Amino acid sequence: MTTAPIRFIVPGGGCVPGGGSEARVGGVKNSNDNTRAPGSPLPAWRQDVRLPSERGSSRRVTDELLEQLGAHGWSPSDLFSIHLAAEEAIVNAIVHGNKLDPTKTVHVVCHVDGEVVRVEVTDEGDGFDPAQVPDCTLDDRLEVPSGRGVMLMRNFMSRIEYNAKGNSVLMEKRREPEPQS
Amino acid sequence: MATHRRIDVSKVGDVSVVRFVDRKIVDEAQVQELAADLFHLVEQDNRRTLLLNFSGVEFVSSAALGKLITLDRKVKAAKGRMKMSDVRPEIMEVFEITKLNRVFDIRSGEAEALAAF
Repeated sequence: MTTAPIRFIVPGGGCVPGGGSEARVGGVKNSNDNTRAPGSPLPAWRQDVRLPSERGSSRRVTDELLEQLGAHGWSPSDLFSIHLAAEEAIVNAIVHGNKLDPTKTVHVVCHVDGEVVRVEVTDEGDGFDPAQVPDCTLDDRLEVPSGRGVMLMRNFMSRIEYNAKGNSVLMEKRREPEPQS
Repeated sequence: MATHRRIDVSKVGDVSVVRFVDRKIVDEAQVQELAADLFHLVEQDNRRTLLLNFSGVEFVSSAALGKLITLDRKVKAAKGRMKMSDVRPEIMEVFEITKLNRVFDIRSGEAEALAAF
């Protein structure tokens, strides 16, 4: 295991939610707080949930995340990007982080408003160094059937950031201006 | 003739045209079943010329990409040919980011893909 400093893969603004101190084991905290994003008629949505380390459990988060993104006016293309990034992060946490250990959970914190989406995924594994993930686009790795999740997360979100241990990833997407026609 | 759970297969000349049952290919169990169906086509049914028509598919995870890579390798090992068509822009972006558009032969529509065999 290599520990690495926090790295900003894509620099960006915005505050970083905490590392999960509000987690409630086994429970779901689902709330709309009172902060309203400019231009959004809905209050921000936040979910704080611990998922069991079993395949398929990501849907417990992604179904409602997609619903909230749509309600907050995010485009179908953004929904695709955010869904893909969240799915890949949660599956990595379940399979590679917790190694499907039923005694371990994956902590997911989501924030959605009209301007920004954040998804933070933390597992109970030993962590990893994302800089050591081989580049799947190199010619000799193009046909290797795994190892694309982190690259997709980086490309589809505005920024992603790992903690020093490498067992927690925070992903953020900011709404891009509508293209001028 | 095998019964497939995650795909529909039709023949156009020598080409087996594969359509996907699911709009979103996400869950591990779903991906495994899909892979079993696709690999069966090549390994048991001896289909060597495949067109994967992605019309109606809205989402694929990287786990599904891995299975498509393995399928492509199986087809190539059997000296067959595989093409894809009707890939929506978001999924095309996934192929471009991962540079799998260099591995897969992706055509815009089914007719163009069929003509390219």
